[in-house]
Amino acid sequence: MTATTVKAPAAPPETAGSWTVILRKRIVGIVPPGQALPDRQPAYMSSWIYVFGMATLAALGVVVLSGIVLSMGGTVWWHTSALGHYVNSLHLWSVEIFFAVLVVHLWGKFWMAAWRGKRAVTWMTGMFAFLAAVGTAFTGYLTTTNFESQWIAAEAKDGLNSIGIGGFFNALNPARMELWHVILLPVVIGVIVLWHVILVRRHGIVPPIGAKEPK
Amino acid sequence: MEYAVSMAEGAGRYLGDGILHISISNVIIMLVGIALFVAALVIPFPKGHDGTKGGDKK
Repeated sequence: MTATTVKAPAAPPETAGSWTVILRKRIVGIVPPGQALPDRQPAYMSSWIYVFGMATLAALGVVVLSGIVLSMGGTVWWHTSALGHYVNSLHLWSVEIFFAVLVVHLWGKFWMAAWRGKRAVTWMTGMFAFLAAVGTAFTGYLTTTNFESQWIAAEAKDGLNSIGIGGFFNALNPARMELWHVILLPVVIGVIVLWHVILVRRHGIVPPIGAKEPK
Repeated sequence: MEYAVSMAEGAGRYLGDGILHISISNVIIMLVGIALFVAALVIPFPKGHDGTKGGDKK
């Protein structure tokens, strides 16, 4: 018997100018294949300090999911419902954990000088995500519909008025703060975090100072 | 520097010195954060199933 070689059919030529081809090349250019979800990482990643970025994302996921459930029932239901109490607590404590692990992630990256190796934008998107998260937490404290939120709003309005943004960002208006908290700021955080993660995948994790980065 | 512990009625315990005024619960949270950070640096990462440290040794 003789073996016959079957030649694979040639792939059809790409349609130059097609928007799908242009978009595909752009996506592949941003994060090359294999880098989006890699199965191998440099040896220096086997340290607990590299876990906190992913822990922050995991906590953010619980924050968003519990927030969606909370928003479905309105603005006061968690005060009178056992399920509401549970979801409200889940939302609060996932936020506490989110900020705790976020701060450790921030410290780790600061002392690692994580802006090295063309990672300046990665660092800056992380910082902007942190600032947006602080604003989201603040508006969250204003929408808990209790005496504490009332007190915080009354104190905050003086500070906001002193820098001239009290009319635009009125802490005493619960409906407006609710919208900032559940729509505007989460969208901002979502976009910045997505951008941050894409940049991390594009440039790879930052090596410790003195370690050699694999090519 | 001498720190004084004071009690604000029903509002928890506070550390205060001059213009500094911070609740003990916030101090504890910050200390736990620092401890977590140090622990992440010094505690060895568990090894992978294949006996490696889980990374690509190049």
